Amino acid sequence: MQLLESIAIGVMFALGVYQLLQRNVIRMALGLVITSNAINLFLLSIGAYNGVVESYAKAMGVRSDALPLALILTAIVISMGTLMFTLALLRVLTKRYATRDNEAIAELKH
Amino acid sequence: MVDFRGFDTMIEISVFSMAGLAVMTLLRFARKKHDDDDQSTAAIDNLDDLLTAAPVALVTPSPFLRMLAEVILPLALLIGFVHMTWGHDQPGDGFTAGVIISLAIGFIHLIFGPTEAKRRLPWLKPANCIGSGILVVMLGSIVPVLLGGTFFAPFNFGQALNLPLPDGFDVSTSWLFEIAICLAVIGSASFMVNTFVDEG
Repeated sequence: MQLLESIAIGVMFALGVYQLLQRNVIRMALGLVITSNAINLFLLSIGAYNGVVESYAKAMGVRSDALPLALILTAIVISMGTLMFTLALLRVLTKRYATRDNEAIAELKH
Repeated sequence: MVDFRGFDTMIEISVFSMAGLAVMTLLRFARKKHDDDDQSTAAIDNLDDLLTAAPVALVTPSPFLRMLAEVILPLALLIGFVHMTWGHDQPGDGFTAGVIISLAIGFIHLIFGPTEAKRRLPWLKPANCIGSGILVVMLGSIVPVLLGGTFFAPFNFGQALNLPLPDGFDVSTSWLFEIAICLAVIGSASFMVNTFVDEG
């Protein structure tokens, strides 16, 4: 399970970084999303499932750590805000320059 | 959840509200400023007129979808309220409540189009939602200090005043906090939905 998880996270991270380095700005936005999700999964894998019962349960037993979940919750919210902002930026860029090529919109003078 | 995530969540909703305001500013003012030197403005303006006149999809949504859009907001408000009230020590919190309600708002915008949606939701003022949300967060975190606790310490009004309340329903500062988060999230998400639907 751990091996599978780490391989999945690694593949996701690689995909995300690969897309981030593309010239197409839409692919860059997708890469941002994939990378942030890979990071969230990584945070989840560092110890959200260590316990026997849930962190909010009143039952006896070793509780799992709530900290990774809280971290991920915050990260998801922030990445949602970032994604929205990125989409708005993309919208403005593609509308003004009528292109999705990174190089063509490199000279941002105004 | 909120008990040990107070500061975290406060900063988080500030960032989220910033994102909402930034999206609104970016889309509204970038277009206003650069309309004059954009060659394709005429065509886009026509398209925009079309978009504001008709629903977003440019196809009339089926009666089923319209019906769903009529009933979805009360349902979402109910689910959101449950999340806010009992989500305190269960899965779910103010943020999920806000997201659920703003999904419903986004759905209404998509089905009816921006003008009709504005007519249907006259009470929805995103800026006021964000402002009051953050204000209530600040006040709610200061109140425990005045009552002799620490910053962000939960204070249970229901217990202190012996109010007869149903099981699991706490009128406390964390409940206020959840409501405030929900308000801020609704505000900024509906800013985003509004501008994205408006600008096409």
